[in-house]
Amino acid sequence: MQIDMERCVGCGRCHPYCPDQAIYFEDGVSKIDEDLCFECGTCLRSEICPVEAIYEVDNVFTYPRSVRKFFSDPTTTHKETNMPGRGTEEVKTNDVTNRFIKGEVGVALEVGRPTVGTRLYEVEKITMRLAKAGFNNFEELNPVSGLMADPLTGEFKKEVLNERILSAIVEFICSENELERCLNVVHKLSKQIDTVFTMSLITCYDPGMKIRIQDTINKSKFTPRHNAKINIGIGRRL
Amino acid sequence: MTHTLHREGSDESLKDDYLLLITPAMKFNDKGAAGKIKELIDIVFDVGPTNYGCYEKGKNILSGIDVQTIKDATKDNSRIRCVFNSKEKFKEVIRRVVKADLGLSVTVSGLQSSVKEVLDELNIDAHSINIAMGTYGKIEKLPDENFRMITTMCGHGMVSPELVKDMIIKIKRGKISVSEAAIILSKPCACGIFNHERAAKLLKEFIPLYSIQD
Repeated sequence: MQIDMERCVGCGRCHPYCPDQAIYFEDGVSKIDEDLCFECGTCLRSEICPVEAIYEVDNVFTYPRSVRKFFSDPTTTHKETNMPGRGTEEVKTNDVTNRFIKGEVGVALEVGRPTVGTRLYEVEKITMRLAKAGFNNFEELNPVSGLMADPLTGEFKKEVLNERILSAIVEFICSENELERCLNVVHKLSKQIDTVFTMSLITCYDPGMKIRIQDTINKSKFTPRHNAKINIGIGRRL
Repeated sequence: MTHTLHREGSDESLKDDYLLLITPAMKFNDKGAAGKIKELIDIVFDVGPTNYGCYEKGKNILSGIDVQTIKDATKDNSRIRCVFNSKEKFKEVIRRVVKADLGLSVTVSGLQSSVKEVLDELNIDAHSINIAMGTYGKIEKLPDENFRMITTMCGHGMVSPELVKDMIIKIKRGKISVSEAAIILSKPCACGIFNHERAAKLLKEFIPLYSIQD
């Protein structure tokens, strides 16, 4: 995003809308720090500018700058998944796709969330540590996989590493038997990164909405929240 | 993914916060889904959501789009994303969506105990769950805990902590009301899952904790 300096009247109304505080005053007008900017488009969509000085630059969809846009602006659609947002359908359509079956657990680490953001080299730290521990069954449909030079090692393409995004979801499947070890690996790597992540675990219910992995969660070093996303199971294939 | 999942706050503050997501599965049942989604939009609006978003327009009903605009923009890969602020409305919308039996996947977010209670009352034995396991890493970088209860209602991070701060200042200076501030805060959330009524309650609770300089 950029601000037309000729139009800007320096009112500063756009500043609080930026999730990354990338808008600042210089010479009496507002400017956007391009290196910090996520390209999330929040400042423009807010329609807060009284003189319409905020605009999207042409290079925003040019790779690798485009990575910022696709991983930060939920109104854009990823080419790989034909879906808006940063992730996949995950549990949302699991009753139809059967992506996560009994005996398997979907693990998702949303790096940069909430609001802190991240450089992609921090995401790579996580994928490489997971891959080294044997958890490299990364979800192909997740846009993060498109950033990888080598999905087996979790290594990213060099040109994207310094791009800054609001968040990216590292998504993979592990077996229920391996979940305890997986959570230990995640706990260890959580001490080695310079940003934050939210974690979620996807699993099929047993009858009566019994959570199959509850014992493993209870034994882990993580404390789950009381909220969850639940697929009620009424979808079907055509 | 998971944008409705990691809402922060006490159980008390989350008890009237129910999210509904209806999603076509790409390559499985998305072909011709637009018509079904429009039918479900009518059901949702008949019950009355607190907020509803439209990715296609990048706006929600609090930032200036109406039902017809949403329906006109609906495509086969569109999704329904909305929030309800009462258990009764939430139960009613689920009952009617299930009855419509259109074959699209339905997920709901909220406190596990509250959601299970509603599903039990409707005799629904759910299929699968995405569990919010919390936030980790360099947590000292996180914004103010009170601000996060508001900003995490937009899982995509579009609601800036600085905007919460700006709203507190404007409320304290008498420039806007708490309700007006809550609606302003809801506007950046294009998905329409930001519950402005919960935001207003939270603002009222924690605003006395902050002071501003003249």
